[in-house]
Amino acid sequence: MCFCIVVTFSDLTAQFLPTYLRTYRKHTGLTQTEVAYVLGINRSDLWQYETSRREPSLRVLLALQILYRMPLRKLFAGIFLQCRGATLQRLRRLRARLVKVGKHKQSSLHMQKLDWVSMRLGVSTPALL
Amino acid sequence: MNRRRKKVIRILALDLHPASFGYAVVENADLLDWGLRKWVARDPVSVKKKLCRLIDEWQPTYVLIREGTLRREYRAVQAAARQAKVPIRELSREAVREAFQPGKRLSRFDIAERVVDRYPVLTSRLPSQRKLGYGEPFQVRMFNAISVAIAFHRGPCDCVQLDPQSDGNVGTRDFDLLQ
Repeated sequence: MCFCIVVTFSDLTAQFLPTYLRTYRKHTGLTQTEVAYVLGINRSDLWQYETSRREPSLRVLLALQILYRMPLRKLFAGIFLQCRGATLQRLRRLRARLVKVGKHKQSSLHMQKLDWVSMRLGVSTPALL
Repeated sequence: MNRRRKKVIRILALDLHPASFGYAVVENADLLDWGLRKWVARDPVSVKKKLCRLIDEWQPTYVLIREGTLRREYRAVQAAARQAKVPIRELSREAVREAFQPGKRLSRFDIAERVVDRYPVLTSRLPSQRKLGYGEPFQVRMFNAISVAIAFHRGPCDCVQLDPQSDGNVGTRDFDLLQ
């Protein structure tokens, strides 16, 4: 039997769990109560973060990163991919808008913005004239 | 940029018993979660509730169980998997043993030791060897579930795919999903 699987970006996002906090905690051997104490939150809050019922605040996110020594993109793989997809899509739209406006009005600031956005997207800056 | 990504396959492996079950969640080769759950014997509602919670939390690609599961518990898994639209796969005991040491008959404890070699994080959960006249340690169920998941990931095996809608007797063979 042969399987041909085409993986699209949305599939990939769906494949990863929103958060892997429980996995990282279990690998340390710590209990929810202990981790919650270190983070300075309630155990029920941690449970909600681990089961994706709620998203943690910036301070808790930073504390989690310090505790597990893991980047947030690994701790929250699913949410990270979702967020990256949406951000890059909006950046592409912004670039298209900058290109459109640049055809009528050109300034060094405008070209600087377009250069940076194009570089961030990994594409070349278009020749506007 | 042409970057090929491997498909993520997350498995919820179960070792079912009349009053408890061991479970393991494995994503490709990474052990995500493991543990033991007790349930009220002969109460399908409590069984289904606990299984549904696990399936909801881990969103597995497959639910994996070992062949020869008790009928009542099997039905409960089937009902939970059907509700979550997750296919069930079954793996024979021989396939599990073969995955760990081909040609040698290993005990459950030997397999548990090999599981610990692979995932040292489980060292503290390894039960002491069973003595004559004593029951099987509770934790062995968890190791059984992990061993089934490892055997599934090891590749070609006599794994039977079961449709959650069917009665669980007829299935199509699936060999090369992970390649």
